[in-house]
Amino acid sequence: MRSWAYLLGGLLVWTVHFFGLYTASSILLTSTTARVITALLTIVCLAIAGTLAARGWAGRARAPDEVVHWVHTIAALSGAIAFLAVLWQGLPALLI
Amino acid sequence: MNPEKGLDPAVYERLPRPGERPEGELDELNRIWAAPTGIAKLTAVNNNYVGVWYVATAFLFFILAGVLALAMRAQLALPLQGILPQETYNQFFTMHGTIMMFLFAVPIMEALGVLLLPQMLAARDLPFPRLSAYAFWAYFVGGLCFFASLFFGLAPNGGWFMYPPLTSTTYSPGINADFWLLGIGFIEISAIAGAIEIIVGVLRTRAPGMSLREMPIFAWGMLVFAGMIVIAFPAVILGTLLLELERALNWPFFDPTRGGDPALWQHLFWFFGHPEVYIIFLPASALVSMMLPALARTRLVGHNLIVLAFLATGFISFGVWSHHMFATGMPALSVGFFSAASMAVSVPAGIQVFSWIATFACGKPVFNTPTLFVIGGLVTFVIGGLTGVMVALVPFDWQVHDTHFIVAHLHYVLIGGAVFPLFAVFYYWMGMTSRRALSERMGKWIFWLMFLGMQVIFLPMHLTGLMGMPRRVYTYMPGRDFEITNMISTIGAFIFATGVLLFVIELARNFRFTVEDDAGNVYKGGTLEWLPTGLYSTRSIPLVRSRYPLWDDPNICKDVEEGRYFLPNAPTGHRETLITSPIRATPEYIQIMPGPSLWPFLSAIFTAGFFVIMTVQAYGVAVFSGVLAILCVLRWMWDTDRPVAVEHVDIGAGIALPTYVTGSRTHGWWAMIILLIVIGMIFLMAVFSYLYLYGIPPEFWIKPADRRWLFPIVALYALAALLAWLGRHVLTRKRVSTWAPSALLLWGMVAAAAAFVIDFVTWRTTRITGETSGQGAIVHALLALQGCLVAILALMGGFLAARTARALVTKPRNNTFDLITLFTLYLAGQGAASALLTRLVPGGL
Ligand code: HEM
Repeated sequence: MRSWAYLLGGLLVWTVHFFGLYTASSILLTSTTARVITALLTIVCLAIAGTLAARGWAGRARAPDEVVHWVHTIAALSGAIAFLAVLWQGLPALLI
Repeated sequence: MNPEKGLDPAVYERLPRPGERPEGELDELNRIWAAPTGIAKLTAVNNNYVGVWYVATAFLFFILAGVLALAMRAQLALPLQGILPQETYNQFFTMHGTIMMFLFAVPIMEALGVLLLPQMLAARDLPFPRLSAYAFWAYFVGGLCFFASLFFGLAPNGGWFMYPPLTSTTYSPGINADFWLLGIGFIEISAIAGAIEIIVGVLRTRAPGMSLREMPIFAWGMLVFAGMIVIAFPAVILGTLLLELERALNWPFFDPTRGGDPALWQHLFWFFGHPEVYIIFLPASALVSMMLPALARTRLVGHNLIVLAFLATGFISFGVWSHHMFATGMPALSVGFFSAASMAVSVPAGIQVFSWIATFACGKPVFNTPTLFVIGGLVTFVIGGLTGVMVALVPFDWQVHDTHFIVAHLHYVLIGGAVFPLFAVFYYWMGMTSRRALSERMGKWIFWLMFLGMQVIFLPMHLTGLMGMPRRVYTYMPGRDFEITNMISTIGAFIFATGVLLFVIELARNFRFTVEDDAGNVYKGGTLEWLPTGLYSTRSIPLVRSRYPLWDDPNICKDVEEGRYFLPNAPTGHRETLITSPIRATPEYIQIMPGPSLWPFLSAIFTAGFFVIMTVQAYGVAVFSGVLAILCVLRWMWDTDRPVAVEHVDIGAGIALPTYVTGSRTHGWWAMIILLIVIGMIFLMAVFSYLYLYGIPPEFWIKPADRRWLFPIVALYALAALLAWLGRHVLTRKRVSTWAPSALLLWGMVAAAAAFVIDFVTWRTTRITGETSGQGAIVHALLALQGCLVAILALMGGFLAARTARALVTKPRNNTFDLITLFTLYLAGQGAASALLTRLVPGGL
């Protein structure tokens, strides 16, 4: 289970982020509070996704074999894609 | 981070084993895996048979829905055409869309999974062959009956997404809408059954050494596909239940005058409906990624990125459902978020497209028929993807919403993303199931007719839409400039149909089903499905060391065929396969597999019968059919979970494995957990509906049932969980009677049932009924869901008691016992959560 959570960590963060934003904007509508929550959630998720990406990348060098190396690679990539996606997803709060 | 114990490196040295295998082993394998003959063939469960039947049936539905499309195009060719009257046109587009999505696109992907996965993973079969057979037959019988509704003018007519209030009894008084709501019930069941099969199959039956890193890309695609079904389908299962309850019992979930909301349906439907598009696209694109290396004669560029793209799509596709609802008036910020997510979703698709282009660029592609279909699909899909990004832009979407622009967009994506790849698949893998390959010359004709036909139909249709022609309208007035583009589209439809017709003729000419003497690896693929096989799949199960084993080890076919790898025989005398660990594919135990049986077949027929008969409101007969289905399932279950005489077997290379294993690493446990996730998702969607209805018109909500009853309800559920857990604990003890563990579990069930009864009865004493308001409706829906679980638990209780009486509940561990315990624990949790929610949330907190 822990391996799977690590492998998919970035994507899970991305999911938490977009569901969080949808909930905030559905309940609080287009308000300043919704924007502030969006900003906070985005910063937190960016930090986690960034950390996951960096840890995954660093883990590759220490991997004892090809399978572990592969797991770190996918974890790093999913952290990286989540980082970009979270950033993109949070932007509408600044524009609208 | 070091997941799982891998194979002992010495094993790699020992395989392939030198020397001859004893005589008679192969005959024994052949005997054990033989399919029945004559009429009894219908009871066969081998994936080779079920897979081909499944693909063929899905293809049949493609043709049937295609015929409906032709009729619609003929109707739209000229203004005020009189071929299809309005009502028939409504039924035709609804049936065309529904059949294409539910009876063709999703099932054909599952069918290909059943057919190809065991071979690609070098498993003897998927882990639950009878479940595949059940899924297939329920779909086959139910699907044909559903289609037949057209001949009686009873076909649904509310469009493939069946929005209320159009589909409420006020505006759709007949039984047409019920046909849709109940008619797709069996498809939901069969899709879920297939998904469970595929997830457990991909994660637990891979050949030793095939870690996630070496896992074929199709297995990845199917894993994500099945995972998405498990998360997405519950939304539509709940949605159809609620709408049917509203229609049958007048419970106003979607009626705003009584505290319901029609937008709730849209949320539920699209939470399923958008992922559905990816559910169709992912396996198709995975198949493309499987074929490309052989077609371009090089390795897939960006394998890891494609895996990432699948996983990312699996997650983000659940974040875009509301883009189908831009026109409903959501908060501006929500619209912005959904728009951003909708654009982001094109990134994973883009990753795949660029990987494919790079693979073509790096290799030396041969322009044969599958290559043409792959390239044609790619071009078409990219065009559809681009119009997709256009409609993700909200102002543009408002302009083209519900016009033919959308019809053009969705067909570009679906035909480019799924239909063309599927035709490539038919050509590429035909050699695996047919004695003769399909003709290349004819194939090129077929491709060009279909490809050009597709562009001629749908390219001008964008214009028709931009000029303002609405979709789902059976005709148009002359002089509105719709004539020319519509006529071109209709001509294109007939060109496309000619291509499909030629393909059918080609099948009749060259497709000759076989398992043994197939045409083989015509396109020189490098993955395991091209190993020599029989009904037992591969003679021995290879040790996998790379992503393209056939290219990297030229001897592998011969070594596998001569039994030099794992399990070259049938040591237990039963059908069996290797269960391996999910990440590294280290062998863990031998699974004893069931053979042909009448029971899955019969239970499928009666399941389909239940849903179909229900639609014509012959409730007594429907219930009778349902009861028969349950009895057949119980009979089928009765034979399972029996330890065999041989406790350990040597699978080769010094590895001895047990033949009976219990606990959280078994395939049965995994299947139960997935099933519970499905049930949990249905519950979660019901909770969402509850909160949604509470949030939208709170003025309809009144004081709930007495909160003081919460204490006994929650306490009884807790007791049920405790007794179940205790029962399992006691089972491991030597000095207890045979009945003690089962008795504890059965008492646990009684406690759960008592909790439910109290919950139900105390709600009935309030003024709130199902008909009163949205609150009453959703509370009663939650009670009904819990009631269903309690009824299933009662069946399980009877089953457990019968097995205990026959001394089939083995000690110290038993799978049946474990699974029923799991179910009881889940039920107790859901029951308590439901009671707390319905009594505390309305103004209570
Ligand atoms: C080339 C073959 C096809 C043709 C000529 C065709 C034609 C049509 C036509 C005329 C409509 C109704 C337009 C309207 O009045 O709103 C339609 C709707 C639709 N088609 Fe197709 N179609 C084809 C293939 C497919 C395929 C392969 C799929 C899915 C895999 C598909 C899925 C749908 C869906 C979902 C709808 C919407 C139904 C609704 O509005 O409820 N079609 N198609």
